[in-house]
Amino acid sequence: MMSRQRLLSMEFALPVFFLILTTIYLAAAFTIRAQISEPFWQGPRAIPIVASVMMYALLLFVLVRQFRTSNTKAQPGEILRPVWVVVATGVYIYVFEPLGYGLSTLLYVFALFFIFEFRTRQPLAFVIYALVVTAVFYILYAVIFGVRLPELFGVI
Amino acid sequence: MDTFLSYFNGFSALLDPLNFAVMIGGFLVGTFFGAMPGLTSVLAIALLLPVTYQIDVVPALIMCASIFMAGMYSGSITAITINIPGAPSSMMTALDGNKLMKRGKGANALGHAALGSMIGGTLGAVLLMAFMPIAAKLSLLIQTPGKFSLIFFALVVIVIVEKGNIAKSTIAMLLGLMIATVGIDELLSVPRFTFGTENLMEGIDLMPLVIGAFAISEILIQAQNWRLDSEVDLDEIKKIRIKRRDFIPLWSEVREIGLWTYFKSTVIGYLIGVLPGAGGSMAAFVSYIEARRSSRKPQEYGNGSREGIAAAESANNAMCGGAFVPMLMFGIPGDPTTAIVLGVLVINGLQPGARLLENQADLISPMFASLIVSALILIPLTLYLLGPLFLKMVTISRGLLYSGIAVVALVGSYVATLSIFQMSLSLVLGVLAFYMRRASYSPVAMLLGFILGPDLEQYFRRAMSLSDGDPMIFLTSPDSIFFLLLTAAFVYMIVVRKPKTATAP
Repeated sequence: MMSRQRLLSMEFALPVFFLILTTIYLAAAFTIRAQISEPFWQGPRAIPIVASVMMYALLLFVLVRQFRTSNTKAQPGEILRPVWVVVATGVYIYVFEPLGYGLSTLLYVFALFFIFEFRTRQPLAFVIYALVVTAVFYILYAVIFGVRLPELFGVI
Repeated sequence: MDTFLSYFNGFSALLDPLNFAVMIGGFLVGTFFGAMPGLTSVLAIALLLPVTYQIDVVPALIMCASIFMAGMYSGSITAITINIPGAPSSMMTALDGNKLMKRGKGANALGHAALGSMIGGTLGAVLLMAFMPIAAKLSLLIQTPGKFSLIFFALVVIVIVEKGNIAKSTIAMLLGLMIATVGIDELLSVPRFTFGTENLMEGIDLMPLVIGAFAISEILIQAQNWRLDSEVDLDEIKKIRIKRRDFIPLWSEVREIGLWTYFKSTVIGYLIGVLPGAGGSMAAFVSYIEARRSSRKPQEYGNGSREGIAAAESANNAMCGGAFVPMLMFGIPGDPTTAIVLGVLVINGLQPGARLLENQADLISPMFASLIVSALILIPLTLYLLGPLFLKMVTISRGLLYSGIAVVALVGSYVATLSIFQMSLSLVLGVLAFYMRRASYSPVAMLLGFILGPDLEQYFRRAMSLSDGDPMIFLTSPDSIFFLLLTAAFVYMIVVRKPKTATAP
């Protein structure tokens, strides 16, 4: 009997996720309609369908092999820290245009400094480094390469 | 003759202030990323990919070439000094280099690594330039069915070099192919897998895939391993004293290694570079094993052998030249770096193939020149001038470093297309690549599947159209048969046949 924890491990969860993804992909492949009638192997559905079939076969192979393996490799490391990075990045992307480059990036760098524990006990250095990081990439993209970055009230 | 003249003009193009500046800048960036454990030259090029949208193709390619060469060499710096290879291709260098370091011969080991890289990198680039016209002629002989079989061969090699993980590597490659099918079908202009979203009509760009797979996923991996990878011991590094004059290898040592070792390792590295998916690590490993097999002092290998350092470093830098051959002539990248360089070419409207050398040699020759100058001049020069500072690089706080990389990656994915959607896609693909890496699915195979997938499909469908749907065309066309037999031979040699030689020491 497999433990629930093992079934939820990446060794199982990722192939299962790929299986779901492949099923959605295959279903969408069957809905592709060419304007002119083409034989199957010359049409736009052939390779996606072949790729899906191969995916199913390989994913089943990987899952069966995983079931037969007596134990799952332990995944060392932290779980929460990468989650916080993803959350901070998601929020950054969401507010990037509304808040403009300057403010959103500064807040993002603050968040990353907290997550990566950089100078969190030295508030002045913490703020100065965050300002420097924000400014350096502003200079790179907006000043040197002339890219128009999002602004807040016409300011960076 | 025209080709060689354009090669010469490539060197003069480097005298342009902008080109010269991007070559030096690229080299320093590549050195930094290559030397920092956890960062690689692939990540450096991935982060600079958005910048290539803002500059001309010539400086963009010059920069990519110098980053590639520098990154391949500089992995040896931390491999030798603190026994942590800055890049996977320097694993073999760490075996002997760090032993020499512990005996107080660190500068000497760094000098030998630089000399090996210099010789391998230069000869590899020369071989690239010499064989490009021949490869261009050969590429003209390949017809549509042969092109399909060639790409099929490349994809098979990419997955089988991941020995022990072939199924997972194939899944990753197929995933890349599936991602590449999103958007308008090139042959019939039919939308595919857009799910009613306008954002997906133009397909998924290379940029979010590269940024996600190599930058975002790396930051997440580092966040995950934050407590496992303790900061480098600063006190230990402060104790290390390196003098510039010690960097220069003694002639007697070079003679003992032998020019044949350098040459043989260069050729091995170059040929492995030509193989899709093999990369610098395999080049260094194979040439190290071969050098040990034929050495007069095999017992020294793993105990501070200068010959071992020379063999590994010559090979991994020679790989740089080899990796460009299939990319430039057939559009088949040999490794992730050349895959991104291929992206730079395509973004700028250049198509790989014989015509690239015929009609646009002036655009790619400066890149060859950059490879040679980086290997021949910049590697020894930066070691001599900046060598004592190299160790200081690893003392930079990782918190600051990864925060900066996160910003440059995300803003970079925005500036290329000015699209929040592309930025979001970078994050989604980054999270996917993170989980893939955790479960041993190769993001490199996914990237190469994404790049080669569309060509594979196009040539397959075109060949089937030419034969009125008869698949026998792949077995009756001589060029196609050649590549299918080559595929079978590689599968036999790498997967079926049991290796006779010993594994890594």
